[in-house]
Amino acid sequence: MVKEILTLIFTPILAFFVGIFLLGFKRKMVARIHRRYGPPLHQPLLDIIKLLSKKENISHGVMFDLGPVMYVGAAILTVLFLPIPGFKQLTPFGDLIAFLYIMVIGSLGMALGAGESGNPNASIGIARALTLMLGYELPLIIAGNTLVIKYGTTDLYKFMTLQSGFHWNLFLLPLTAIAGFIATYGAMGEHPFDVVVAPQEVATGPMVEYGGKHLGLLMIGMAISTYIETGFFVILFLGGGANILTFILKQLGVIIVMTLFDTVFPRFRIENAVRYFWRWPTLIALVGLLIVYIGGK
Amino acid sequence: MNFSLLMILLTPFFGGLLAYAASALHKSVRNIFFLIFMLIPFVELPVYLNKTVDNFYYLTILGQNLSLGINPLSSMMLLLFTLIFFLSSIFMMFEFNDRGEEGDLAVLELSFLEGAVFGVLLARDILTFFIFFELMAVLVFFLVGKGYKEAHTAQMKYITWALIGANSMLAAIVLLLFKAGNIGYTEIAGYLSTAPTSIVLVTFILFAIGFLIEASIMPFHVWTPITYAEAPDSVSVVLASVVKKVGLYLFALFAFSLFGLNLFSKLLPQVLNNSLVMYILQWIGALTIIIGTFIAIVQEDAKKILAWSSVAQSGYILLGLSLGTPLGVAGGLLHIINHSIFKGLLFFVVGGVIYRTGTKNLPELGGLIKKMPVSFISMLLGIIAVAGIPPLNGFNSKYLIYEALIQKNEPILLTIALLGGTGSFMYVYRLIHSIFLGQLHEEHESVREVPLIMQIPMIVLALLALLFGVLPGIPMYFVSKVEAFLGLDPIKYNLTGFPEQPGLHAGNVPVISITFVAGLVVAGLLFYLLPRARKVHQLDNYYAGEVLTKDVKYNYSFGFYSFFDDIIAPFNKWSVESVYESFVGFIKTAGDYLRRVYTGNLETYVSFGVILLVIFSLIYILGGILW
Amino acid sequence: MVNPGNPTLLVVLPLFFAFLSIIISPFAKKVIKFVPLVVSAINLIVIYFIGLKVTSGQIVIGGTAGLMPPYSINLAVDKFNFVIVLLVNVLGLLISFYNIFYVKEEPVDKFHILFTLLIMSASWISVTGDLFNVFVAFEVLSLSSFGLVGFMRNSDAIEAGFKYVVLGILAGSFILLGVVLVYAMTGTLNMAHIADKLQTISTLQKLIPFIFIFFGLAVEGALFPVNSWLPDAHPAAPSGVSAMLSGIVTTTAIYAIIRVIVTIFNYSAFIPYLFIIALLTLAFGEIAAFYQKDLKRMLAYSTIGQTGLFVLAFSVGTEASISASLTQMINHSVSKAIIFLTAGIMIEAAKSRNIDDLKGFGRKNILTSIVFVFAALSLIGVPPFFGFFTKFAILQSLLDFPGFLGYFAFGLVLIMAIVEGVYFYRVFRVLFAPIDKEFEKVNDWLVVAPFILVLILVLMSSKPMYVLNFTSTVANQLVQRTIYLTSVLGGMK
Repeated sequence: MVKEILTLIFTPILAFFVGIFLLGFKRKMVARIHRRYGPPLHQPLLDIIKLLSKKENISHGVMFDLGPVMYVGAAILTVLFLPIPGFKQLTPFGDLIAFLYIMVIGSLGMALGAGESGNPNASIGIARALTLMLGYELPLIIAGNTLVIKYGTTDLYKFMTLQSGFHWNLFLLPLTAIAGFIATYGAMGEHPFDVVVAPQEVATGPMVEYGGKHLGLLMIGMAISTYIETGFFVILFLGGGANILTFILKQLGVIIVMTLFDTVFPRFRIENAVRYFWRWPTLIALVGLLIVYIGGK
Repeated sequence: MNFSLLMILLTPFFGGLLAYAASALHKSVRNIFFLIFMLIPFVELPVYLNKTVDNFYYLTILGQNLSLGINPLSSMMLLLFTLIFFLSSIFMMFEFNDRGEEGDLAVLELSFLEGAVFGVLLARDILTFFIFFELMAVLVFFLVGKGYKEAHTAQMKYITWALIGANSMLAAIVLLLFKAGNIGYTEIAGYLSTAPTSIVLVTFILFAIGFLIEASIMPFHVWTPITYAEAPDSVSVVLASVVKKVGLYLFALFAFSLFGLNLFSKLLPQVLNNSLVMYILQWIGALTIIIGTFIAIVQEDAKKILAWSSVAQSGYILLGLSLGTPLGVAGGLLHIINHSIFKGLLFFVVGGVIYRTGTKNLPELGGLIKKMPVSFISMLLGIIAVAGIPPLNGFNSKYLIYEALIQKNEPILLTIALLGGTGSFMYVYRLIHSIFLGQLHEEHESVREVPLIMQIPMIVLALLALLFGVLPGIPMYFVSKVEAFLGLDPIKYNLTGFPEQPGLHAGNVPVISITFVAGLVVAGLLFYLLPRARKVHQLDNYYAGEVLTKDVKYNYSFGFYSFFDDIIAPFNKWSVESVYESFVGFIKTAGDYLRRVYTGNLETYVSFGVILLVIFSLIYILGGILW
Repeated sequence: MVNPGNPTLLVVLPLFFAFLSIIISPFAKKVIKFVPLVVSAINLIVIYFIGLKVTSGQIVIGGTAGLMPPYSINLAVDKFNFVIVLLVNVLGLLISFYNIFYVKEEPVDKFHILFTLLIMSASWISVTGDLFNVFVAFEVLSLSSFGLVGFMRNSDAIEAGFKYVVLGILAGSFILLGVVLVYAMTGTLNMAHIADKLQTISTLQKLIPFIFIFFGLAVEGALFPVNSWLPDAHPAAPSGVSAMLSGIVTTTAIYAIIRVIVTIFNYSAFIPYLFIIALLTLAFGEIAAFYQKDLKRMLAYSTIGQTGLFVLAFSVGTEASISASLTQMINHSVSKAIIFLTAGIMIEAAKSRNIDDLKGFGRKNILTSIVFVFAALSLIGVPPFFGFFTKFAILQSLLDFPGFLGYFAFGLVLIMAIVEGVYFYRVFRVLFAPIDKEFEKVNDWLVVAPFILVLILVLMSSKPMYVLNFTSTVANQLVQRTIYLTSVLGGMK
């Protein structure tokens, strides 16, 4: 019991550091692909410390302040509903469906805060973010449903345990896994789906007015989110992990494969992004669903 | 004191007449009577909360005994509706404050509408409910007419559909009376259990048409957007939270109590473990969800967004109810309660905004968060509830429906429902952003928060949404009673959520809420321990080197989701509305041709007469010779 | 003294008053206004006494020339007659009250004299037991209504009046022809006696005279396809007259048709054709009404449609359907009269018959509009008004009609109810819309008559079973025609 509670408290911190590591690794890898050295692995941590220690910050109002707070708070909440090897965390209280909704709370808080900033760029960015969400959620939902049908449960911890050994869904349901992978791309805002941020178009979108400690908090949240999204994919399709190290290794694997694609692609426009999501990934996921549905019957 | 059902039924009518009479004295006297009589049902109802009364004869017509009755389903809805009516009457007092005689009539009509709704809920035979149902339509027609500019179009659309629904139901009622010989619910149920399939099917479809029109399910929803949007705001609340639910209540009552799932499975072929008609209804519900959501996203009028959102949420309820399983029906019933609360809340907030700013057009609003903070918080809670995010009440009912879909092994429907949920984030955010966030327009500089009394409806509903969200056991108490009444095995629940049971993974909303609060505390501590932020003026904003001035409108509001519009543009062409328009056009041309028979030309008439005369004379003469 | 329950009084007294008025009209113009009122009032007293006897099941016979039928012209009042003549005179009473204040065009006194004759002839048709009487009364009815329709003497009225005259005279000639043929066949003009004699004559031979009489009466009775004069005449006439035409004249003509079909000819073979005619009347009437922008024209087409409806109910042929049809007739007469009277008030105020010009009337004149709304809702058949129960009864009886046609009629009636509802609600919407312009002030007394009628309507709505039970006894008595025959002919045998 005490162990459980201690793990609960410890997990966000773990998630934060793993997220930092993953983000840093990504930057390093991108740099190496670009044939340069790149920043050190712990660069994101340094960035955050710098931002948090800024003496002067601006704010546009209470909601503006609450945006990053809600984002981080929700990230902490979400990470506690994600099981890690050996520990259920809070999964007995919320399953896959609840998780899908909990994931959104942070974005909502962030969206409200950004809206309060009064900058049209932020609003455009958020509109795009929400539209993109509609896009990638479709294949993601179909993929999730396929898994639910296959395993007959919606509990995330069970997803992990039922794939033990090497019965990864990646091998058993390759189509679904591919669809889920592409969807996760959109969720993480990687190229070619980074239209939300789009530095050259909307001046980083929602974060345009955020600086200083606000931005620092946002980056903390982003680190935890990276952990969450990669962790989600790992749990659903890569069999979780026997212990925490394999788990992190798998997350790293996800990041590596993603970055490989990320560096090569330019940016989709938002209409094209959503159309794309609703075409190929959805089709692939539907085929995967059909296979499981008919096979299961 | 023992209140008879008839007394409960007549209270609102009496109250309305009294208030109208009192308006001759003074407006405030009228308001006092109005509000008092809206409160009285709260006193009268608790007696019946645990009872089921079946036959309270009150009239004999056409050889049939009309009766009233109450059961868990009706009492649950009666309580809910009394609350909504009371809150909208508070709102109506403000809304119609300077509209003189119109306000008096509106008070009368709203009270009578409450009475008519009570009549439908308390009915125990098919004639009573129809009488009050039609009465409801008449009253809504007149109430809607007091609304905004396009209200007259809304009125005609509404009444055409209401009449179609009413006559469809009347056909079924006459048919049933003809075959069964009795109008009581129990007698009809008894007849239907042994009736031939054609009768069961025909009457069910005819009834369903009537109910689904009222519940604004596709493809009968075309009257809803314009009517909800153009009606006066207090009436919109009643339309979305009460009138629509009456249709769904009747649907639930008839499908489960009068017809019965067993009857359907006996008579109709099974598709994927559902009887055919239920399966079709599930798909209709799912399509309503997704199409309603998508159209809501691209609206520019605040009330239209809410109207289309209502259409979509009706789809959820229909989907849940037509699943037929304890989980699904619980989800549908719970969503009826939740939707009434949060949709009413949103309409109240928007109504308050309109009251203060005079416009409901989203591009014209913005930045009101500083001026109307209470409204903002209420709307925030409301939109979280609509989107179905914990810890508000929308999550619980949607959760049940999703889990029910999983239990029934219907992944495509589940996908559509979940996608609808995601889509709702979009329009919900649009609503709050375009009204409260962003740039404050110059003309709204002097806008204040709505009057304190007017804030009561918003605050009450917001708190209720939060309470029912965190402690779903409270509404589930009623829902499980209703499930038992409808003949289903009630699902297990406790005060804080749903324990693990077959088909349902445990869900515990307080845990989610507490964790979230903990997370917020951590983040907040981090935030506030760091140096304070300096508040800057809204115009002090990054805009690529330009300097922003007050008269520039840089709010991103019009065409918020124009890119989404482009994506769904090809599908927009197949709108249900255009189908009806072309159908109406066809009828008009046909009618026009028919009408020309009356040429107005005297010569034609007379020659016709003369020809007749000649023909018959010939027949007579020839007949005389021949025979 | 004179038996107050003698139906002959219903004919004689009004005629006397009418001629009296003509004589004294040069001297006492102001008094003439009240003559129709007085006449209807007296009639109602007579009817009351008749009613006492009729409701207990008797058939009241009024002989003339001191002889009993069939040697003399007689009047006979059974329950059916009673209902009709009661309706005629109640409406006549209240409408004449309305007319006192409404008619302002000269020559006012002639209007009221013609109106008295209208009441007289309508009552006469309703109580007579002689076929040729029907023709005579019909001619008087036509003549008085010709004059009343064209009373306003504007281009509309003259055109409508002319069309009406031509078709009315044509109709009268048809009836005369039919009556003559019947006389040739049977040798008598007494209804009961004819009925007796006709039983032995073949169906085919009866056909031609029947068709003539039927079509002649159908002209007045607004049946398709001979009702084309109606949409012109009703709007052009002053509103009091339109109310009378829709409420009384058409109903009396339909009564006559029913009497001819059931009692005299006993022509059940004709019923299916009547069904089709009624269906067509209903459909054409309602659809045409939907397109109208002129309020009174719309109401005229609505009358056509409603007539189709209750004739449809009648032609199902069962006792229940006849009862339903009769109830609907009552509902229509009363409601349509109210509607025309209030429409008259509205048109006076707005100085236009166009519906859109009435915008906002309801907001200033709530009483008149509520009266209009109540009557219209009863006409459409919205519960809890009386019209709902009549509509329900009709729908029930339609299901008794065998075969596909019954279901078709059932569906058509419902669809036409939707159409009807839409065009009336359209008027409601306009009435309560925001006000555009100023309305003229109208005489407050005008609203009294429709108001009283609406009270009657509300009374009927609250106790619909009284009326429905009574009409089923009427239908019962009607179907058992032998009672009628023996009562009337009892004098001979």
